[in-house]
Amino acid sequence: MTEKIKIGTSVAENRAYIVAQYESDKNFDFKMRDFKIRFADGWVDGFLVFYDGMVNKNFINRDLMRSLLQSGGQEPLSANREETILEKMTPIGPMSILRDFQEVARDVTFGHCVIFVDGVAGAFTADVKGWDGRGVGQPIREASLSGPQEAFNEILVTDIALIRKILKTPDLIAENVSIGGESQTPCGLLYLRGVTNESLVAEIRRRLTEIDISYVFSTGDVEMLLEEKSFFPMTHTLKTERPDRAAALLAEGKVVVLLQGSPFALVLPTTATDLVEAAEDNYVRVTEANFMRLVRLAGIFLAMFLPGLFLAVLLYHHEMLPTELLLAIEASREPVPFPLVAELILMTLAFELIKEASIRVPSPVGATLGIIGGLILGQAAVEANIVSPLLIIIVPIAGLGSFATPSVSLSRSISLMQLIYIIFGAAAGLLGIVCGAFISGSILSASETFGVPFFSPLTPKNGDSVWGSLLIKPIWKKERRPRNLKTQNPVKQPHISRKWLDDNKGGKVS
Amino acid sequence: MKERQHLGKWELGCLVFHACFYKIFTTYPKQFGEISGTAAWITALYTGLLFLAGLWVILWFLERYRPWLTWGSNRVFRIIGRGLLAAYWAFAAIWALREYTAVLQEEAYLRSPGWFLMGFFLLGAGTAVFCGSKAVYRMHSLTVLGIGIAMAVVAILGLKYAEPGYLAPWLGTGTERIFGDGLSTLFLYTDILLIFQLIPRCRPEVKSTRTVMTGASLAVLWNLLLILVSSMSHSPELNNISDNLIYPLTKAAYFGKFWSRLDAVYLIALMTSGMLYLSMAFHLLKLAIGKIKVKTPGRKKAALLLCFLLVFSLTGCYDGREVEESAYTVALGIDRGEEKAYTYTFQLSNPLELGGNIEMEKKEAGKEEEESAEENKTVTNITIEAEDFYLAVNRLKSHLSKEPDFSHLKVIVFSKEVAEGDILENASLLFREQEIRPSTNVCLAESAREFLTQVKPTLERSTARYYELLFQNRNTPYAPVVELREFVSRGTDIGWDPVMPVADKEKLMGMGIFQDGTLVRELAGEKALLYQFLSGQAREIAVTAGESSFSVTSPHRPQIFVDRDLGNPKVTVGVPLEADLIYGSEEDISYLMARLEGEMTDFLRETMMESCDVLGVGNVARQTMLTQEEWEQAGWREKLSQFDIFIQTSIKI
Repeated sequence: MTEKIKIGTSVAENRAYIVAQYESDKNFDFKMRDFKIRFADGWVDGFLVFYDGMVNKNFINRDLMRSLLQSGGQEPLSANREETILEKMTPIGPMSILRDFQEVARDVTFGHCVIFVDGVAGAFTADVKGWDGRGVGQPIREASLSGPQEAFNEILVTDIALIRKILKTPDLIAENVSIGGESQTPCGLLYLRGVTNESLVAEIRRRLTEIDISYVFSTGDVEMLLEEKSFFPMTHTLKTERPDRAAALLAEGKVVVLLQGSPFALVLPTTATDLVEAAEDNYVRVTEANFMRLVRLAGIFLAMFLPGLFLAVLLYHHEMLPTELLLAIEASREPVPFPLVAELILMTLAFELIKEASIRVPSPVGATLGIIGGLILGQAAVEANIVSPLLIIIVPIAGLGSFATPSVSLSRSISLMQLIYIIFGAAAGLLGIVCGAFISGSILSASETFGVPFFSPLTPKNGDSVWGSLLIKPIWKKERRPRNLKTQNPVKQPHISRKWLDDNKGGKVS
Repeated sequence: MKERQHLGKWELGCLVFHACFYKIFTTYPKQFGEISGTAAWITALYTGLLFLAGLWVILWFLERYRPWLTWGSNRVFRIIGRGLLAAYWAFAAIWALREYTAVLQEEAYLRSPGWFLMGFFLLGAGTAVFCGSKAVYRMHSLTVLGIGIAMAVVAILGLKYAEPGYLAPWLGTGTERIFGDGLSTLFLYTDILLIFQLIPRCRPEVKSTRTVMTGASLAVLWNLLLILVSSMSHSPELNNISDNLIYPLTKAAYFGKFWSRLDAVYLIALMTSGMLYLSMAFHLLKLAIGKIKVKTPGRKKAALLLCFLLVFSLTGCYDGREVEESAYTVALGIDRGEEKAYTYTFQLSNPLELGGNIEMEKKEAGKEEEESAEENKTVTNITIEAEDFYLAVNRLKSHLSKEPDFSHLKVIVFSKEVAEGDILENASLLFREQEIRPSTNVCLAESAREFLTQVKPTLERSTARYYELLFQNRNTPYAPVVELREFVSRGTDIGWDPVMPVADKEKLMGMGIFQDGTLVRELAGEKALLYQFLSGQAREIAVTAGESSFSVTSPHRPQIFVDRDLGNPKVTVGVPLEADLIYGSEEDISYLMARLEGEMTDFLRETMMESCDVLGVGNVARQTMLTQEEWEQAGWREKLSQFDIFIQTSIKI
């Protein structure tokens, strides 16, 4: 950190410094306006600076310039100018005083208007942000049919407000930690006082404040700067764009990190069970939600293992297939010249290409992609005897499975694992697959984020029900917060939350 | 200190369970097979209980004198103790690696060299150890439950072959062997030494004695269950034929109509167990040795390893074989040869005639197709004369462009000539063959070669399915359903003689009865029907009696009582039947009973006069014996013809 330069009392010196630092003659959007402030017995020199486009000029004209030029008729020049201006002359709420130029830089570049006044050893900063940004839109990645339709946007305070209006408690603390030596990007550290484990909050705060980097651009950067293992094959932190989900996880006792300019919240710490939870789960009936959860789990399993297992069985363990199926496969493979591994890798690669291309392709052209994928790669490849028809079933099933995962990051991790299992399956059949699964299981089960094991409560067991974490319990059964978070208040609701069931005699109302 | 605290209750239990259970995949079944034959389960029970009692005493002692866990304060003791433990774990790891690889090689990876398989075991276990003790413990807690359930499923599905009579004679090869040699099986539980190293690493709230005892007891129970089921599913004499008692169980237990074996479940459990055990042994070895810093492999090394694997996968490894490179044999015929001992007829399925191509060819071929309709195009028959099966397979390879594969063999047809000779030797050889399913059906034919070349399924397109449906059809009234394992098991058994259905190109009807492993006589369809009633396999068979007709089912197997009274030995067979009146009056039921009883008595008497025990009467008599020796000396077969036979049917309407 460079040494802080104090703001002096001479407005001319301050002006010269600002002109030099911001190169106002080159920066065409940097605006500087000299004016005089009216006191009872004279005028005082002053000037204000702001970036055009980042402020709301109405506030500057109406609430700053007008009042400074006209309102201060009662106070003499000898009065304390700092107090007078701050308390009596400016009708603007979010206003404070800064003492050094570093703070000025931080505020000006963030859409504040900073006013320098002669004789004041500081600068007034008024929050008159007025840049154009996206409004609160619908969630795209975590769309839900029955839940709320709000998603975070790029403005930090809006994001915090979206969470606040759900939780509605003063216990929700949003600490501001600026990240980036140059960019000083505001970052919100949110947690529930009295619930979240204090040492967890302290650890995240410590890691955030000890990031020494010039610029951060997105929550992805922050995630990478916070996590212990960047080369880990599986995503380790949950990123959500839904305020309702962030709020629910805060209520469980987790910590949420928001970053100015990024429409995603980081939820820490994340376990495997959080990653398979979808937004929809909490808004539909328990039976439906569980059915969907099981389908999703099956999808994840298929996406990871199906191509590898298929290869292993077809190359090494022919006896496991029903005879008719085997003979049908044999017949379909007969005209294909390539080995099965090559075919499978080719098809998987083609599928990944379609996936990747579909993100880039503008939507009017999108329909063509379906035709290319479906017709050319599917039918034509089979007719040209490049791949066997069975693969046209296997690869898309695995693909659908990976799409069924609720998080995009998880879906990509799964695609990567799929490829690894294909290699292992080709190398030694079931032994390869088991070896691969054992390796990934070992790595995943040994890993911990902020002291919380990734697979908990599956392993190590901590008293929480395994089924309760794999499946979804009705809300009246979610009495305890997850034990692995070691929250200050482990009980979320009393044992009987549906009081109407209680007949006051210790029994149930029939 | 932090490192020492993360072993929880569940993890410790799983570690103990697995350490006491893993040998079921390797040496355990073999050891029990060798020790005491039929009484393997008594040995298992006795050793298990002895082990648990000993363990409890040790744990009780350790709880009182906790410092002993850390070898007291004496440095010399500590060094010696740790050294011994380190040596034990090093030896145990090498031994287990060798055993697992050998079993795997024998059962699924015939052509792969041992080092290749070992490499994968070491890779899995090594990664867990590199990831730290947490990974080792947590992988145990993640997978051990699954392994336990998988083996229980194998055991339960294997129960459908269970024959409680096979547990007799009750003391097997004698008390000295059970209780004397049985003691040596206690060495199978030596891995419990882990408690000395792991109990000090438990979290303070863990009640180690209770957890260790629970894990160990469950392991003993599981071992017992598997040994029990496997001894129930073979005749005791079969132990000499099969090395690994559990594997035939897995090979035979298949998921009903899917026709797929439980191999996958068993193999996955075996491989996971191997990696788990090795990771534990390495971890404990590391603990015993003490301060060794193991560097985690860097990125470069990891990349190298990946390249190594990639190269492996692309070169196409030893056992890997593309589906289209195999020729699947669906039926095998064995005849007496003219020049050499046997003539083998291999019936190979012809995939091109089953796939989509057949439609196009048919259209093009037009009328020619009709002319050649007599021929069964879905299969190709190759006949080879050779001295034995393996020589025949060798010669078959020179006839074929593809590699022959027997994993989908549906039926083995023996000619009557072979059946009158050394059929049992042939069947045992095929039973031991790794690729052939023990659940393959067997049948007799006048000439196996003729039968196979004349087979022409009309209701289904695939010949393989034709065999599946024909030979597995338990509704066929005039022929029994017999699998290879059943035939071999009963053939080697003194107290039970096998039967075999007789097939010709048109039908499956009648059966052959065997004595001492050779065909004695062929019985017509009507007699086979009686056998169905007697063996409890009959399903809704129409029988007329008097003026009425009944549909008769035998709900379960008959109850057999043997009275070995010297003067008047007799066998009483209680046959439970259920009859539905089709037409006529219910009063005719007494006629039905009288008729069936008479015919069944005649049938049994006839077979027993020829010293054929098709019903397994001997198996019941065996239960009155104490030791295998006594049973073998009893000369049961000679006595068979002296027995008087009484049949009592109980008919429910």
